[in-house]
Amino acid sequence: MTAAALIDLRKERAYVRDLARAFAGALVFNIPLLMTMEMWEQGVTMERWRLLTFIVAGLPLLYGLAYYAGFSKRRGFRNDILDTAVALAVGFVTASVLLILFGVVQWNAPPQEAIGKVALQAVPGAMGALLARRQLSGDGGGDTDEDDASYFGELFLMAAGALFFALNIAPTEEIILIAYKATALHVLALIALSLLLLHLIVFNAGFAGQEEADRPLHAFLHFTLPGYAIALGISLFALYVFGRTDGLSAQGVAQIVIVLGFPAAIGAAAARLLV
Amino acid sequence: MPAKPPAKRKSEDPGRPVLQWVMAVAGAVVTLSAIGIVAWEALQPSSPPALSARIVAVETTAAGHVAVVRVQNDGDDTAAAVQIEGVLSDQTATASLDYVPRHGHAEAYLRFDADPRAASVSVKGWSAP
Repeated sequence: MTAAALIDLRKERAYVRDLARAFAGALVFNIPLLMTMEMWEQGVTMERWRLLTFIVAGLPLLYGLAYYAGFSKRRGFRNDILDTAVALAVGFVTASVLLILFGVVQWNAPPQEAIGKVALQAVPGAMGALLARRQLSGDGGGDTDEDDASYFGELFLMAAGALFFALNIAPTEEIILIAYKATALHVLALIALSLLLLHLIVFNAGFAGQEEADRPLHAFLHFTLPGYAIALGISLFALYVFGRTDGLSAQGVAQIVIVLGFPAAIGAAAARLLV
Repeated sequence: MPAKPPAKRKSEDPGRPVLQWVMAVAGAVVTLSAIGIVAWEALQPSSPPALSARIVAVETTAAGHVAVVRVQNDGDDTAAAVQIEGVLSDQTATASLDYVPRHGHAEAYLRFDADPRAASVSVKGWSAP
C-alpha cells in the first residue's frame, strides 16, 4: 500500500472517534428540531432570502463555536475552520439521513424542497456537533478556549445559547399563540422573570468570574443586562427568519420577541453550563 | 481550579488525519452548494402560485374508485391549504393539500363511486403559507 506513508492509521482511528462524537452531538441537539413539523414546512415555504440569511449568519456562529468548543482536541485557526466545515458535513448528513428515514424528504420530491428542508436543519445540527466535545467527552473538555474567554467571548457564548433555545421554539405555532394570549401585565412579568432567572443562573454558574461574585450589581450591569439584550436580539432574528413577525404591529413584534426572549434568556444563561 | 499554562494553543501539527480533510471538503462543498442553490432561488423573479390539477391514475378499491390527482404549481410562490374539487356527473369529491411547493407538485386523492376517468378536477383556492 503506497498510501501507508500518508495515512497514519492511529491518527485516522482517533479522528473517527472525534467524528462519532460530532454525530452524537448533532443528534442530541437536532432531534427535537428534526421531529418538528413546522421546521419541515418552513424548509419548503420560507422565503429564500431568509433561509439564505439564516445559513450565512450561521457560519460565523459555527466558527465561534469551533473556536470556543469544537469536537476535536486540536486547536488553531486552520483547525477551527476545518472543524466548522466538518461540522456542517455532519449536520447535512444527519439531517438528510433522518429526514429521509422519517419520510419527510421523499425521493420523488422536487429537489429545491429537499434542499430547503435539509439546509434549514444542517446549521443547528452543526451547532450540536461543535458542542459535542463538552457535552459528551468525560475529560472535562481539555484545553478549549472557553475557560479564559474574553468578555466578548462570554457574550458570544450567551448569543449561541440563546440562539439554540430560540431555534427550538421560534418555528412552532405555540409561540404565536402565547404572544396572542399574553396581556401587557403578562409581558412585563415575563421580562422581570427572564432578568431574574438570567441573573441567578449567570451568578451561580460562575459566568461572571470571582471578582463579580462579590459585586452583584456590577455583574447585573456587566452580564445580565447585556445578556438579556442579546437574548431579545436573537429572538427577533429567529422570529424574523421564520416569518413570525410578518404582519404584526410594532407592539405585536415587541410582545412576541419578549415571549421568545424568555427561553432565549435561559439559553443564554445556560450557555455557560453547557459549553 | 488548577492554574492553566499560559500557552494554551498547541502548535499546529502538520500531519492532520486524512479523514478530517475529506470531511471538511465535503462539508464546504455541500454548504456552498446549498448556499448557491438557495441564493439562485432567491434571485428568481416571483410570481403567484399557478396551480393546475389533472388525474394521473385511477385505482379501484373496495371503497370505490380513487382518482390520483397531481397538482402542479408553475408559479414562484408556494401555495398552502390548496382545495381540490373533482366533479363526475352528479358526484362531487373534495380534498385539500397542506402545501404545493413553488415549481413543484403534490398529490391528492379523490374518491368516486364510478370510474372517474372522465371526471373534471380543478383547484378551488389556496392561502399564502
